Amino acid sequence: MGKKHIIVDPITRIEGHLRVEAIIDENNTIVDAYASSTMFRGMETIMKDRDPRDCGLMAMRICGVCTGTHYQRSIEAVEDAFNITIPKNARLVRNLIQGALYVHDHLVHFYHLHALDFVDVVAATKADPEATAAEAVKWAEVAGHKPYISAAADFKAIQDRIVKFVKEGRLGIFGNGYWGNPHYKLTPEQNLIGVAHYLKALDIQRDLAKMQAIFGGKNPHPQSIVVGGVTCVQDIKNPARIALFKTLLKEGREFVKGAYLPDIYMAGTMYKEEATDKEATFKGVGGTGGGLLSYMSYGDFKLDDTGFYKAAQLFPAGLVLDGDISKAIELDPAKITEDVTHAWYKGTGKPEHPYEGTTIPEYTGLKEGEDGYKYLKTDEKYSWIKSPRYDNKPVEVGPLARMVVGYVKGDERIKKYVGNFLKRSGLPITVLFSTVGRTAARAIETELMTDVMLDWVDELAKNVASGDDSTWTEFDFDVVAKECKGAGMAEAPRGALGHWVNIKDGKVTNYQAIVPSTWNAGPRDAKNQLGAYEASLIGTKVADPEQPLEIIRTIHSFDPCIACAVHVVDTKGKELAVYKVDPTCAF
Amino acid sequence: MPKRIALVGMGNIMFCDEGLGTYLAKYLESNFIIPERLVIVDGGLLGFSLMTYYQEYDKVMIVGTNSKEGKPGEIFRYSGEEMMALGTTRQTANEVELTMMLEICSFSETMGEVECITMIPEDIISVKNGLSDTILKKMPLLRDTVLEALEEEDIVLVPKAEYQTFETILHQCANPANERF
Repeated sequence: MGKKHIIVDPITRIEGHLRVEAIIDENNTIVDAYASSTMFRGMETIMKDRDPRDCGLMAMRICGVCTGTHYQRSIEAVEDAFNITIPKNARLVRNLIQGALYVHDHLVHFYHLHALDFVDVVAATKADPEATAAEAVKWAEVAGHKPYISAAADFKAIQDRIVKFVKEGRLGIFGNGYWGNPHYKLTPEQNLIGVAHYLKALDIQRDLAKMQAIFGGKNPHPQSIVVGGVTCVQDIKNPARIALFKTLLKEGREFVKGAYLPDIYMAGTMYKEEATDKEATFKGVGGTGGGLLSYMSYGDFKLDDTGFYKAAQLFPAGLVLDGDISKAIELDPAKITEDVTHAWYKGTGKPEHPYEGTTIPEYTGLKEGEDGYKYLKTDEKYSWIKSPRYDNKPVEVGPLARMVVGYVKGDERIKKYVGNFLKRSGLPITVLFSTVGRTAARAIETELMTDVMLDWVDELAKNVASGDDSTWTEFDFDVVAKECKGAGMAEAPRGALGHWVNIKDGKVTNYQAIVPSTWNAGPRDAKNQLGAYEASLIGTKVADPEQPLEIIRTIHSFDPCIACAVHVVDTKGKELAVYKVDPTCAF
Repeated sequence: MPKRIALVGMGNIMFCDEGLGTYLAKYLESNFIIPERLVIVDGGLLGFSLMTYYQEYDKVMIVGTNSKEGKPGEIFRYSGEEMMALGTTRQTANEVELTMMLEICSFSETMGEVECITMIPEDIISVKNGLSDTILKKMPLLRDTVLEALEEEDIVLVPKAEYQTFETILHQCANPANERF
């Protein structure tokens, strides 16, 4: 038997549209992989000639999830260009808005987009509720907390709901699963815990979403951040608003510690074999899904008021390359470029820095195979996502990158949270270099964020109570906007996010954004170096090619958000616009 | 108790007709007095936040684009269940996202009724603010369809004294401006 060509198009339960083609050998091991976004993004052209003070209001429209992050990054790019340092209250408010987004996003991602890659819903119908309750207590103890749900009766009620839905054929999203696949490793009781938390998380996320609106003005399109600071003066001076934020945060934090973390310990332990299988990797280190082992963080969440790119940060900026955790490399923004060798853009024939970046579409199509299926032209251009590189190297971004970079740089807070996870789980540090590790890093970061946000709320209340109600730094637009350029480089929940702006005579002359999923989902480059998704799939063993559970699990672990990386091409009949929900397997 | 209704206008205003739902929401908010039990939401791409509306309102009316067979400007009304049963091929970002969030929430105990009012777009490829001429001409029909759907829920919107045209709404959305200090 020869090699098989698997097409998964689209990868479901993500934001946006993504196609993966993988080549598997006779042992069902992935030997090559290609990630392609079948949508086109052209936001940059729409920014030209705008007043830079208003770019954030349009930038927020490129994504439905990280709306507020694009909004802030765009404004920060302009603040960097104008050399503005925002007041303390504005810094804290921005940290709280972004922090709330992180917690909400990570929680929804794990439970509603990713958990079903580990949890077999149908198997939960076979669980013993009493044993489930005991199991929930056990994993909460491993995490060092009380279980969020611990009564057998509660688990029984949830199980009854699942059974009813199965009987009625109303499994909704659960109906698309690969239930019974041998690469599902949880026991029926553990599966029931996962489903119970999935349902509870639907309620919890509502309150977490409200937190974003308290200082953001509204959600999904916050309005309170402006060039120079924030406008929500009345909200920060109102103790009731601050108290409400704190109450919602504490409730969310309880769920993170009593459900999310225990579930990660449970999954980490049950999927330990995959997470430590270094044979199933691209680099021979870590476990299934490890990939590039090169990580980059722009750094984010300023902890003092010393100004742009000078302040201490909750997540340090830097890189760790090739899995070498003995040293971190300082970030040099000048080394960031985008390559379009395999992306459907014209480019200038050489890697472009975002300040000089171009976005000129050049679609060259797919090729039709003998079997009639359309395939990516992998030797040529095959994705609408460009290939960003740091010093000509592909890197991974996201929560895992932030945790690895922070850990290697010796950040005390990050070392404590990561160290705690490793100690309590009994897993080696190399487990981080895997699909499971990527998923665990997101949970570790969520716990860290809910803890530190409590400090920020108190710091904000205290600062306002001391009489400081300043929220905006004055600037003379006619002077600062004459000719300048700036970058808003920080982190979004999914990883490093940068907006770059050039300004002349008060108008935008060039605008580029590199979003996290561009770093992760980008195709090969001129040197044929694989992108992060592509590398993460190499070596993965697929139990059943008809059910590419392992491919989806690893891709989901990055939390893809292709909506802002690219955009849909057409609505009618054209090859790129047809999304086959059922994965196709062809030779 | 009368139903609490969220009318969510969805779509990306950077991609021509894809923004038609967003424009309609803005138009209604600008031209009509909105009663307490109705909330008009500028959904944009919305994403996960849709889940909250599904859970918190008795009924969610989604206004956006669709990729059904037909002529640009044709309008369709259908339920969330029908949306989920569309089959395996969904084409616009709207449809994929809406369906995914519907599926995720369908297991929730507090799931509201969902109705989609959608129009076939002509151009969602061009990177530009505004609408194609064909769709702009059809916007009054979309408005009337939405008003009719609201009337079926016993909500009759009363116009404000000052009227803003669709062209004005499009211009405002294309040129959002922060307050100057």
